[in-house]
Amino acid sequence: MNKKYWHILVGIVGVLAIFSYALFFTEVTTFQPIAGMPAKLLLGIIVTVLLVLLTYLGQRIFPYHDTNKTTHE
Amino acid sequence: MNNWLLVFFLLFFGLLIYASIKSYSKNRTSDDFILGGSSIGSILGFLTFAAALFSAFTFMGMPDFFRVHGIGAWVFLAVSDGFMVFFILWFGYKLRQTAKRLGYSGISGMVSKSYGSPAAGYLLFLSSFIFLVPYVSIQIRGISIFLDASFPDLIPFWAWSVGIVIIMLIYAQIGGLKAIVYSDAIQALLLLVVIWIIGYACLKMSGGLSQIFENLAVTQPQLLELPGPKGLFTWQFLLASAISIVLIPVSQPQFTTRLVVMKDLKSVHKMAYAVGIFAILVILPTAFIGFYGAIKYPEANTSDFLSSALLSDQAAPVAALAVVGLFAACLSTTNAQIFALGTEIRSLLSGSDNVVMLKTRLAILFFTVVVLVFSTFMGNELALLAKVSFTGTSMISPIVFGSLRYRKPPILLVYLSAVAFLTFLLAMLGVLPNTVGTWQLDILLYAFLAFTTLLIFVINKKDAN
Repeated sequence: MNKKYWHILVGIVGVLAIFSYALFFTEVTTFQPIAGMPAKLLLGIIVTVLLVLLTYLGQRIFPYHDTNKTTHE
Repeated sequence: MNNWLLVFFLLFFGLLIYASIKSYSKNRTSDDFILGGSSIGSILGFLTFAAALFSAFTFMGMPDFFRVHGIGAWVFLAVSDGFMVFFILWFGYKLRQTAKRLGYSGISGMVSKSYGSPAAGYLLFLSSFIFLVPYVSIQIRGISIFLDASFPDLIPFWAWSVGIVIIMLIYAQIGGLKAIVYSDAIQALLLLVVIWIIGYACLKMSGGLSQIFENLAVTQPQLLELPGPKGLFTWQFLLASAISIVLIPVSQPQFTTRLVVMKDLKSVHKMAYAVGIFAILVILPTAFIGFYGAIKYPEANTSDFLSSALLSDQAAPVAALAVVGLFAACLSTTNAQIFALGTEIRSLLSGSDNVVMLKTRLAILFFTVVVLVFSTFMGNELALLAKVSFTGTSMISPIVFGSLRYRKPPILLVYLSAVAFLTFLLAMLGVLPNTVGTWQLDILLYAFLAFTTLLIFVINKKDAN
C-alpha cells in the first residue's frame, strides 16, 4: 500500500514542478501584489513549504528500507 | 567591536579545538579518517549537510542576489532546494543500496568499480576538481575581501585567505571527517543564529516587510518581478538552476559521501526534511538583508554593501557575530569540498592503508594550495559562480544513475556525460557559445542528457537491477 501512496506523492511533486516552471515562475512585466507581497515571492514561499511538507510525508511512507549496513573498503 | 570579536572568535576556536580533539583517535584507519566511522545520526547529519550546502555563498551571495536581481533569488535557491530534499528520499535509498553492493570509499571509486572502467571514476573526479576548485576559491576570496574591508589596516587580504586554509587544514588533518562533521554542526547553528539576528535588524531598520515592498514598488518595481531588473531570472535560468541544484547530491562528492556515511536510511530521510526547513529559515533573512540593501545601498558595489549592511549598520556585538558567522560559513563549506576531493582521490587509489592515507593527506594539502592560489585572482560573482559549479558537476550525473540502475552499466553513459561535460566546460572558457538561438546551453545539455539517458535505460531495461 505504501508503494501506491509513494507513487502518488512523486506524481504530486512532478505536477508541482511542471506548474511551477510553466505557470508560476514565468516572466511578468508588472508588479502583482497579493496581501502586500509580490505574487511570485509568495508563490515561491508556498511552493517551498509544500515541498518540505511533501518530503516530510514522503519519509513517513517511503516503501523501501535499508537491508543491512554499508560496507567500506 | 574588537573586544566582542575577540570573545566570539575565542569561543568559536575553542569549540573547533574541542571538536578536533573529540574526533582524534590514534589507531584509526583511513576509513575512520575519511568516512567518520559511518555512524552519523540524523541531527549531526542534517547539520553537516546544511553547513556544507549553505555557505559564504548564502551569507554573502544571496543578500546581494536579492538586492541586485530581486525576488527571483528565492525561486533560484529555496524552491530548488525544496525539490532537492524531496529527491534525496529516493536517491539516498538507491545510493546506499549501491554502496552496500559495491563497497564505498568515494563516489569515483564506486562508479569505477560499477562500470569496470577507471575512466568513469576519473571523469567524475575531474568534473569535481574543475568545478569545485573555483567555487571554493571564490568563497575564500569573498570572505577575505570582506574581512579586509572590515579591518583595512590589520593584515593584507591574502593573509586572511592563508589563515582560513591553515585553520581548515589543521582540524581536518587532526580529526578527519568526524571533526569536519562536528565543526559543521557548530557552524550551521552559528550561521542560522547570526543570519537571523542581522536579518531581523535589517527588517526593523527598513520599517517592516510591508514598508519594504511599498518602497521598492515605487523606487525599483522590477526587483519585485521576474525576471528582475537585469533580466537574469528567466524561466530557462530558473529551471536550469533547479535541475543543477536537485542534482547536487548526485554529482558533488561532499554530499554523496554524507548520504552514505549516515547511520541508516531513516536518518537520511529525517535529515532531508530538516535540511528543507533549514533552507527556508536561512534564505528568508538573506532576503530581508538584500531588500534592506536595495533601499539603502542601491548603487553600492558588493563589498561596500556587505560591509555596511553586515557590520557598520549593526550594533557592535552583532557585527562581531557576523564576522565570526561568515568565517564559520566559509570554513565549513570549503573544508567539506576540499576534504571531498581528498576522499575521491583516495577512492581511486590502491595499496596499503598507511600509504593510501598518506597520499590522501598529501592530496588534501595539494588541493588546498591550488585553492589558495586560485583565490588570489578570481572574480567576485559569488552566487553565479556557485551556479556554474552546480551545473558543471551535474553533467556527469548519468554515470551515477547508471551505476544505481545496473550491475554492469552501459559504458555509453560515460561517453555521453563526457560530451556534455566537455561542451559545458568549453562554453565556460568562451570557446563555445553559451546560447543556441534563444536557448541557454545548460538547458539544451540537460535535455540531451535526459533524452539519451532515458533511451539507454529503455533499451537496456532487461538488464536493470
